Amino acid sequence: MGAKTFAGWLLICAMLAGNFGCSGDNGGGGSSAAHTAYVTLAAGNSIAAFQVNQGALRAVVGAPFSAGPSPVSIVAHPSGKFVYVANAAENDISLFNVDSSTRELKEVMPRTPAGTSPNALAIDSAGSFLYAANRLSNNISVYSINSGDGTLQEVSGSPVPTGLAPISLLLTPSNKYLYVASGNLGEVFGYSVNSGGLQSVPTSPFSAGGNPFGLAVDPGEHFLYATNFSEKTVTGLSINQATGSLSIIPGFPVTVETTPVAALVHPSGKYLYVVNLGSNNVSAFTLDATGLATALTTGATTSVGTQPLFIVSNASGGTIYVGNQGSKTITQLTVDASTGQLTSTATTNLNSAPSSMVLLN
Amino acid sequence: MSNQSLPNGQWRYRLAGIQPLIKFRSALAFAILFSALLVPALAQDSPRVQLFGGYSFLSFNSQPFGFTDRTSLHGFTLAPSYNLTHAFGVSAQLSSQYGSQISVRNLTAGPQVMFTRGNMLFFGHLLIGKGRTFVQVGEGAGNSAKVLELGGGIDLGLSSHFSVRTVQADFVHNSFFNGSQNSVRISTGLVYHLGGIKKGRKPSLTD
Repeated sequence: MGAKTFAGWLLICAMLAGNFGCSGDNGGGGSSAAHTAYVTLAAGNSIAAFQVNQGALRAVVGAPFSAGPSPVSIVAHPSGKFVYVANAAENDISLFNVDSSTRELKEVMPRTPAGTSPNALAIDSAGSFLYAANRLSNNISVYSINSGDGTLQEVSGSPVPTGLAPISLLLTPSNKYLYVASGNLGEVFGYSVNSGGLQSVPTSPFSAGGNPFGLAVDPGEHFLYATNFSEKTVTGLSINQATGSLSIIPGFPVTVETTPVAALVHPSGKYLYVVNLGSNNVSAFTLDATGLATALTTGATTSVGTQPLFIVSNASGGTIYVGNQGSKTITQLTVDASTGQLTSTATTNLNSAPSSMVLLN
Repeated sequence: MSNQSLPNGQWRYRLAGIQPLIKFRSALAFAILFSALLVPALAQDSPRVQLFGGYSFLSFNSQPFGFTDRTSLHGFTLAPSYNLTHAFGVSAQLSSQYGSQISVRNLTAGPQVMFTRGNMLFFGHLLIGKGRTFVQVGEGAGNSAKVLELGGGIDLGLSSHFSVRTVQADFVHNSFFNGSQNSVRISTGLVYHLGGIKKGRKPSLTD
């Protein structure tokens, strides 16, 4: 073997090392575009973790991570350092530290007591307060968050009474108002928020025109949408910017499909998506300036897995994820920004039924 | 591999004089520059048997595992080689690197090519085998999968039986957890060698 031949060999090695060995995006995704998705698995008492690269989900090695009994709702602290999970079967809330290197969730004990069967969480955009809807004790627990270690401290005046069986809660983007869906009463309860304190807004509660289950708000927080699970409808309510009071927008409720349980307003504010648990699909609407929803002429519904329960969007609104309890899957959908039409692009299998999901940047 | 350009003692003296200047990160550049300065030498013997052992560093592509960045691992590499001709042989390699959250172990074998110049031996190899990793995330997860290693290096003769492997660089392709991990490993250490094969000599098993 001559020197030239050997030099050729080394050159091939160098090219391979340069092209592949130093690439971080060969099946793994570059860190700059990487996000993390956490999915609670209520029956498995665990949390699945995925790295998100251009919308696609890829399981984190070592996940799912152990969680408390029946984790049903998950939210992430804006810092990305902490994650909170409601344990419905143990009446408490778990705090997890997020390992910034491995994406591992490490629970910090002890867990923080909540009301009976906490099943929905919300966190303010500053990461200062956490809210938990307690379905069987009919109240809302409010906690202040220690920004240093993420620990929770229940605030004075908590828990705050609310309607029968609060099933979901929604904090508006400005953190001014908190709305709670009470499906059994067919009403939405509204609260103004001041430093974590909750004060009922004038004339609350508000009729939703059915049995509200899921709530969604537009980015400008002019309109609130409530899915009425037993009526196959969705109701749009106008938000009084000064008081937080709600009033049904003329033209609502509009018909969707069977058992609508969750809704999402696209980050652009132009589209509304409603998850229909009973018909295994997602209804899509365009929203006009008055908040009125009109079904898409093409792609009015998009099939997903069986018994879809929740819907989550990434920050740009380019990708939407739907969690399917029956098929134990996550359906990935891409959004046509110009029409709002959804296209199913991938399905991710889970080893247990998903109950909630959060995306972490 | 014997040195015919200068007595071994002189080489060791010269090396001792410049050792403080050698940095790990520039070892490869140094070796290449050093070889270029050598006066063209006469045909040299290649060792019949080589036993390499030393330190190794692996820049492991852990992003497919869910890590946000690559992971630096440290460990060792052991590699016995048996050369059939002056320029061709077979080599096996056991390489194991560790970190706080990942360990990687690869056992490979395959062909090796080489040539000598002065008291230096340049080699390249293409090795395939099996790898094993354990990821200490959550409750921990382990996996075994095929591995391919493509690399080469430079040995600098110290005496009739020992060389220092100034640098060995390997591109390492693993497929753990049904994924694809492309990594780079750098090794350095000592090589013990036995026997010799002169250039142009036909293969013999009696050496």
